[in-house]
Formats: sequence, C-alpha cells, structure tokens
Amino acid sequence: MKRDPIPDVDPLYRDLVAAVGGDGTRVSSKRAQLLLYSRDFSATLDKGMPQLVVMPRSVEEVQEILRSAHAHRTPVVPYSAGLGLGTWLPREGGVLVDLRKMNRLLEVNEECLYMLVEPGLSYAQVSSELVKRGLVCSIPDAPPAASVLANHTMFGYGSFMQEYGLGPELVLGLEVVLPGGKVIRTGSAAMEGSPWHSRLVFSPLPDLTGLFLGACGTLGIITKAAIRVYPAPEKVAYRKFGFQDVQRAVTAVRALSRARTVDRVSGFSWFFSREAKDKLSDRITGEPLTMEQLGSLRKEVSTPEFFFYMGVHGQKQDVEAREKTLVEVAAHHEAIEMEMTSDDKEKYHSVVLGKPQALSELAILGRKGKYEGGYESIVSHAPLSKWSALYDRWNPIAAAHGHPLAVNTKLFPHGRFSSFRFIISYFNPDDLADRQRITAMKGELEKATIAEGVPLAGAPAPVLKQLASYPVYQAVKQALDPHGIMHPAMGAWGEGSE
Amino acid sequence: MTDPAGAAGPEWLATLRSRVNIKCLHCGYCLPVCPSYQDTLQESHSPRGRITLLNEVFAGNLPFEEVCEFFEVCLGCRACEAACPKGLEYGEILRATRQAMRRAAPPRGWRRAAEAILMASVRSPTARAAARWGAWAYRATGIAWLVERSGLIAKAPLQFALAHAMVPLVRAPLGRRLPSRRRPIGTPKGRVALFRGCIQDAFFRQTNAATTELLAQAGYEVIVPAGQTCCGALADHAGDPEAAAVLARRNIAAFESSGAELIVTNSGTCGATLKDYGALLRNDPDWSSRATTFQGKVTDLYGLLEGEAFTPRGGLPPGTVVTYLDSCHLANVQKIREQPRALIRRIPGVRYVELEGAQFCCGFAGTFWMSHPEASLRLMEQKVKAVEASGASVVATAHPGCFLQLHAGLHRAGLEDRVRVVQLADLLWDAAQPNA
Repeated sequence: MKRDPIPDVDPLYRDLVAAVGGDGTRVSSKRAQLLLYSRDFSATLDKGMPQLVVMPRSVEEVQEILRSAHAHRTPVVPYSAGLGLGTWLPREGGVLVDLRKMNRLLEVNEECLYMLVEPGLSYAQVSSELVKRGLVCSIPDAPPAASVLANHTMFGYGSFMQEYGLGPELVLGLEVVLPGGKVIRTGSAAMEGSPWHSRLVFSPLPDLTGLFLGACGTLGIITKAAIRVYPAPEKVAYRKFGFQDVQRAVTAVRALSRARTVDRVSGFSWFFSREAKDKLSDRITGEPLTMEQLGSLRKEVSTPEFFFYMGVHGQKQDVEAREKTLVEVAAHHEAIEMEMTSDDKEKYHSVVLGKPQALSELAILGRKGKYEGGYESIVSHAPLSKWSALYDRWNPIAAAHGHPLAVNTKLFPHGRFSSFRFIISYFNPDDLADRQRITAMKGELEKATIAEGVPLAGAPAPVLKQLASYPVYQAVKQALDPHGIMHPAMGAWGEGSE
Repeated sequence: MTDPAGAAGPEWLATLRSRVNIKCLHCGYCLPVCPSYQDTLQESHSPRGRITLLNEVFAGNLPFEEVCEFFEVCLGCRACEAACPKGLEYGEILRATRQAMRRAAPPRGWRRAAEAILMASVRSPTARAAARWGAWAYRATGIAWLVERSGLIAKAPLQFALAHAMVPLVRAPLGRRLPSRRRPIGTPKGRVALFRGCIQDAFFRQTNAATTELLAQAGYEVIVPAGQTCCGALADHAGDPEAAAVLARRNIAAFESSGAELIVTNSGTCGATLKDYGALLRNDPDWSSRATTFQGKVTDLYGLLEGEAFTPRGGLPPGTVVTYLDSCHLANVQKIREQPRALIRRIPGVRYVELEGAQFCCGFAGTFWMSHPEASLRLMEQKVKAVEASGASVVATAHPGCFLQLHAGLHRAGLEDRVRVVQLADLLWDAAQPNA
C-alpha cells in the first residue's frame, strides 16, 4: 500500500527537524529520497516506501525521534546499509530511521576482546582497524558496505560461525532505544562503569540481550552493540575435498568436526564447483544464462556431488598436526582431495584474517555478463542428518522451476547443526515475471523445508504465528511498544500483502 | 519540464534510457569506494542511489529534474566501476545523464559564461601562457604573500581560497620549450608522440620536459606534434560531447602525421579521455575509424616505462620515504595501479610506503573543486591526514589536478615544508640524474 509523503508542514515533520537539529537536511520527505528506500537486495514483490526519512547522529537524536513517532503513532523502521533481503522495507510507510551517520567504532577492548560499534559502521571501516591490532572479527557473506551491528544482531552469516557460532552468539551486550524513547543497556555494561564483556551477570535478570537479537527492530532501535573479536591466527591451513554423495559427506564432516580436527567447514553442491563454472564458460559467450542452458548443465558421473573447504587455524605446530590428521581422516571417508586455485586460497585467507570479501563467485560471474543480478535464499538451520532429505526435497522443486540445485552449507561448532542454504541466484530482478517465478519457487522450497521439520531463518509470519512461543513475543511487544509503531510490517510479513 | 507519466518522455530522455545499462544489483559494493557517498553518507550521493533514481525516472515515478542534483555532486572518479560486481559502466551512465541534463537545462547566464571562458582557456595556447605567467607573477611578485597576510582569504569565497593555495610554483614561465623532436638515447626502440595536456602545458612544462627526457632515456624518439589541444575531458564531463568531439578531431589530425607508434601521456585523465575517442566519435563516419586507430596508440607514461623495466640511474638520498596518490582515471579507468608504484620502488635510496586510501579521490575532479568547494575541501583534508600519517616526505602523483589539490592541502595545513608533492615524471627524472 502506498502512502503520501509526510509534508514539511506536518507536526511530525517539524518535530523530527527539531529532534535532529540543524537545517533539516537530515529529515526529508522528498520523493526522490523516499524512493531510495523502496527497494533492497531482494527480489521481493512486497515492497513499500517510507513517508519520511530521518538520519540521526546520536543516541539522543534516536530517542527524540522515537518519542515523536510514539506521540504521533507513526510506524518506524530502522535501516542501516540497505543490504537486507526484504526485512527492512517500510511496507507500512511511516518514518524510516537511517542510521548510517551513527558509524563510529567506539571501542576496541583488547583485554576483554570485544569491539563496541554503532549501527552505521561498515565492515569496510572496521576490518583495517582490527587488523592493525592483530585482531579479527567475523566477516560476513556480504559486501563490505554491510553493517557490522546489523549483521551480528540479525543472523547475518559470517566467517566465525563454524568456530564460534552464529552472529548473535558473538554479541555481548546492546544499547537499545525503546519505542517510548527510553535507553537501556543489556549485559555487563548495564551497570555504569562496567565493560561490555559478558551477557549474563545480573541474575535473576534473564538474557535481555537475546530479546533484541533477531527482533528486526520490532522492539526498539539498537544503537550500540558489543561484539566479540578474536586474536588473528598465527597459521592458516585449508584443504578442499569432494564427495560422491551427500551422505558420505555428512559422515566425514561429522567425524572431523567432533574430533575438533577442523575449525571451519563450508560446503557447496556441484553447481558452485569449478567444473560447473568451466562448463558455463564453455557454453556462454557473454549473454545472461538462459534457463535452457542452465537446465542442460550436467555433472560428469565421476565428478563429486558435494564439495567442502576445511580449514585449520591457530598456533603453527598445532595447525600442522591437525592438517595431517584432516587429510588422513578425509581419505578414510573416501573424500577426493581437490586442487585449490589461487583465487580460492586468497579468498579463504581474506575471510579468516578478517578482511571483507572481495567479489563473490556470483559477482565474478556477473562481471562476465553471465549473471543477471538476482539474489534470494532459503536458509534452513538443519542438523547434518537432514541434509540428504532436504537435498531430495529441494531437487525436484528446483528442476520444475528451471533453477539449478544450488546449495551451500556452513557448520556450527562441532557440527552440532548447520545452515543449509538454497541460493536462488539465476533470475532477472528487473523482470516482474521472473520475480514471480522465483517467489513461487521460494514459497515451495520453504514449505518443503518446514515439512521436513527444519526451521527457517526469516520464516514468514504465518509460520511464526503457529509457534507456541509466539504469544510470549506478543506480550513483550505489547509491553514495550503498546502502540505498535516499531516496524509493524514485520508482524505481517509473508501474509500476502503486496 | 519532463512529463514523467509520458510513455517515452522527451527525446533526450529516450536517448538516455537507450544508452545506459542500469540493472543494478543493489549490493552496495560501490558505497565504500565512492567519495561523494563517503563524504555525506547519503544514499542519493552514491552510485547505487543514483542508478536507483534513474530507474524510477524511467519507470515514470520521478521527474528527471529531481535526480540531476545527485549527478552533479558525482566526482566522476569511477572507482565504483572497479568495485561493481555487475560490471556496470558507471562512467557511461554518468556521461549520458550529464548530456541529458544539459539537454534538459542548457547552462545559462554566469554559468554559461564561466564555462565558455574555461573551455577557451584550455584550448588556447595564448590563454595557457597567460595562466602560466599569471601564476608565476602571483607568487614571484609577492601578491600571494600579501593576500595571505591581508586576511582576504578568510573573507573570500572558498573557491578563491582553494585556488590561492593551488597556484603552483611556476619555476620559469619562459621555461624550457619542449623540442618538437627529441632523439633517443642508446638503441632506438621506436617513435612516440607526446600529448602535452592543457594543465600540464600551462603550469607544468618541466613535467612534460622530464617526460620527454625519460622517454628518450628509455630509447624512444619523441615527437611533440604541433596543433594538439586539450583532450576534451572537461567538455565531456560537463555533458558536452560536441565540444569534446571538436577537440578530439583536432588531436587526431595533429597526431596522425607524426608517424608515431605510440601516443604517450603523463596525465591520468587525459589518457582515459584519449583512449575513449572511439566511443566519442563512434557516430561520425568520417572520424570513427581514425579515432579507433588513434586511441589504440594511446599509452600512459608510467605503464610504458614500467614495461620497459626503466630504472633511474641516480637515485634519491638514502631513506627518502615516498608515497603515491593514485590518479582516479589512471587507476580506475586505465587500470594502471601497480606500475607507478613499481617505478618508485626501483628508485635507489627510496623507501616506499603505501598511502592509506590512495585510490580514494582527492577531491580535485576537474571542476568539482570549483562547483563544490566544501566537499572538495573535506576530501582534500582527509588526504592530507593520510599523507601525514604515512610519514612520507615525498608524495608522487600521476595527474596535475591531484598535484594541485594536494599542494593546496599541504599548504593550508602548513605541511609544505615537511612534505613535497611532485609529479611522478619529475621525481623519476630527478632520480635519473647520475649524481642525484
């Protein structure tokens, strides 16, 4: 639903100008400015446009903005780098709070090993600062412009998830402006003067940090986050293996992870392999891929079905010993060792040593004119035992929609479970019919995943509302945000609004 | 005014739509490398934002006039092109949009007059000589000293303050005239023609002289064709391809008779423009193939010297710390990044240090420093901070605009006695002297 911009004579507009001070250049309801926030990285058909954009520079300004929006009962959507996949689109209009100007690295605590960041700070800014200190942070599968805070608090996928867990598990505390304008801090820094070293210190208070992680701005605006950093490894070793089928891969990967032989495991299906890329190169001459061309790609029988990068990091001697074990155990499990290209090695090193990713594989294809630019994904959080079943469920759906079976995975520590993802990348985001095709395919993949009993990240509202825990969230939401101003569209996401 | 709801809109809008590929992925790879975005952190000041808005114009959701201001603040450094996963040709998007802007609202009044004066100045050897003499006199006669102490700078528009700080030390306005022909030293490798460039010719004749000598030392016979003129970058960047094409034709004609195998330039932007003559004249049946032949011969001095394994014979005082500031159009358009660094590293006595953000635009950007002096100043100050942090005593540049901007920045920061800005050709020539 489209709503008209809030004009500069509106009391809310004037209140926001007063909130951020200055000459009003940080508040805009010009159509050109509003349209900039009406799309993101996704192919979603369910979009929206804010009625007003405001760019605060401080926590105090965020407080004033929320007080005003609260008083005027106007929806508020927080926003950082615009790299979301549908999450931050202002589907209900209202005020979009663009946090890019709050982009300071406030602290790097080398004793307690965390960094304190504002929401607008990007990976491009932070990584070099950490590298100077011999530290690294989790680098996401996202461009360098991505917000460090948003990536960690919104389940963005990062390079540390195999060693230390998902992004939110690396968050040690938050500063949040609640919908009425009150500021709270969670974790150890809730007490004045304490550093942000831990999440749970004030029993019987529960882990209030967790309350806001993944909440998509529905409970307040996060203005600071303390995030773990780690000493850079002294040595990095890595190998690439192929497996003839998914089940064999599961057995080997589980054994290696449990024995703590490897620190990082990331895998991908044949379609993302070097061999598939070579086939693409043979067939395509600069034009975007057609569905027929994609559908006709077949792997050779002798080629592995699933591939893994496995990395070992740490002290030199330890790495050397574990790398030897890795090769032996992998061979025992019928793994086929594959050659790593210099690009592979460079990329691996960059990620492990905390440098934002250079161009992704898709991006490289894009440069060659072989990729239209679409990106969507199905992100399941699956135990390893579910891989084969998901693979079997997803395969016919992909085939029916003319999309290759494009799966990648990352394991969580010790192989407890994994993110098992279907990457939907071969469609034209500027073509409505193509987007409709992809949206339909995505819906079928989501249903198939849920039918397998596997949770989805970013599950649509109808799925969430069936959960027994959902009323607890609703009660908390009602208490903190009685007028429901905070990102209200999130509560109805996926319910068919267009 | 445009009719945004119209099916095709005016002819210039249809032309724009047909010329540009705006299928942006929205990935934001361009954001960290874009100087106008980093300066303001406004989405509308980013390549991604501008392309989004053009899409909205084409979809009929926005009048074209409402996006023009965002294309005006673009510095045209084209760093986004190198970063773009889709390989979008942002330079072409910018060029086509600025042409459309000019068609939609041709410059009038003072802006038209200023533009006419500027274009005439870069074209005319007499005007360039006047500028050279003026710059020399401004410093040599003490006018600059008086201006500085009078407090006038603080009261004058920022453009004047920047221009004052930029005025380079023209060592000898009568200077060495470039020979029309310079014989090679040692075994001849071939004949090259030197493209002088307008700013180089006005203020940095010694740099062109050094370039000639370096080429001769590398074994090339150097011809300096008469009749050559400005490369046309200013006109092209201002959205005036017709004016740029006039200059391109003059240059092509001037160089065709030189018999040179290569056309050498020591200015990043000139090189990028000369290498694009084929596109500029593609619709001119009389000139398009001549333009293509011409652009195929254009080469950058530093790429050429590095390929020849050129090593200065003399050197600099041992331990001289040198850093290098990329020219945007040399690095992002011509893709010459490593060669200048390699040449510096080869200078005996030099310790090379990398400049943080060396590939980030310094803020000069043709006429940007005049049209957007505040933003230009902020970018300049960032660059000066990076130079100071590098610990270098010498900063080499590969474009006269970068030289002027950095010279101004160091002057304003009171650092000009501690850090020397040089054009790389001058540095290499100094280092090439046997007893340097």
